[in-house]
Amino acid sequence: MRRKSGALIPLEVSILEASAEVRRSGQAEVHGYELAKVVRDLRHARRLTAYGTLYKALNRLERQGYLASRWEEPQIAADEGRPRRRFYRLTLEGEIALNEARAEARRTSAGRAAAATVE
Amino acid sequence: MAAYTRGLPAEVRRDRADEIESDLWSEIADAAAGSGEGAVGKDILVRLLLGMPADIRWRFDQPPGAPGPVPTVGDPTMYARNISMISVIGGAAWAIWIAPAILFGDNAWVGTIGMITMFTLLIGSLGLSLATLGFVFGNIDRLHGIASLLGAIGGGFGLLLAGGVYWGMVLLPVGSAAVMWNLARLRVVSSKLAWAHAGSSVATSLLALPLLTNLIPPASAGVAVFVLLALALEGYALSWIAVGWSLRAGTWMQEEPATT
Repeated sequence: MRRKSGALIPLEVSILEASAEVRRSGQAEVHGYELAKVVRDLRHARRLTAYGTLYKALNRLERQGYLASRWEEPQIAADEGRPRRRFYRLTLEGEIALNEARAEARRTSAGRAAAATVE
Repeated sequence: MAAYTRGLPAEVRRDRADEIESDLWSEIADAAAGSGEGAVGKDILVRLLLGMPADIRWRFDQPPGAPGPVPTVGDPTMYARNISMISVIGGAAWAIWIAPAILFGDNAWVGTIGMITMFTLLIGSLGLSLATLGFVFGNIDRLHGIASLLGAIGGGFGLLLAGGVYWGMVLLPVGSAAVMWNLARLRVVSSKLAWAHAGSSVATSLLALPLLTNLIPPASAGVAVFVLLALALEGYALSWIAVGWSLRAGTWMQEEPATT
């Protein structure tokens, strides 16, 4: 099954939220593991998102243009004695999609509140 | 990782491997600075296992020999319709023959009746297993990792059921119940159907488990146990028909509203 083009699942919204959070803190871009930690904190989860789930979601967000990525220079990683990292940053399209998702969430919760009041 | 990236372009394989290696390295380095190695080992294993269905789905999304953006292929609603139809056919095959096969014992497996029993058991097992796997891989992006894993295991064992691996009679209902329960939370399946499916699944598993583990030896189990198991299996089969029928228009393709 393919989802409707552009539709975001909760994890993807959390990833965009996390990317925006990272940027607010003054960091322009972030690698997967750091992002997973911010997502965990935002979702109040006990564990980090599974590898396959996280990188598939990142892959999809990048294909949609909501995130952009770059690989760091291999020399930097080699100098620090660790594997090279892929850095992600939120794009303008991603910011718009995130704002739309937030607005949709507000509409949904307002609708539920109104329905509860009627009942 | 080498297994599920086999056949992909070298660059895609390397990028995938490097990204996960980098994540692993960072997690271990983080743990070394903070919590103990034992805890991080368990966390890594859990992250690895829960992400496997998404890894497999990612693999199938990659065009062979052509890295980069994936083109949209086929009509997604047709996929949903096919899985729904398989659910109905598989459920019907189980509903028709599984219960009589249990109640009539050896007599259900001989002669012409035996051939029909075997045939419908095969169709039923294959149908329900493929339907479970179809629901898992069709919703892999939004299903909870544990539901995906249980569904994949259940679907796998269900495929072996017709070959005499009767653990499928426990694992398939457990797996499909986890998937349906999750799909109900995502509003793909109605909660009433999910309750019916989960209830019959639990009843089937609880009745089949003591027989499979020989806690109650089948030879000494009373007729009541087999009657109850047959009823539970009938309920399970009917719930599959109901689920498949409720989704026959392919509406389970719709995405639920994104929430924060």
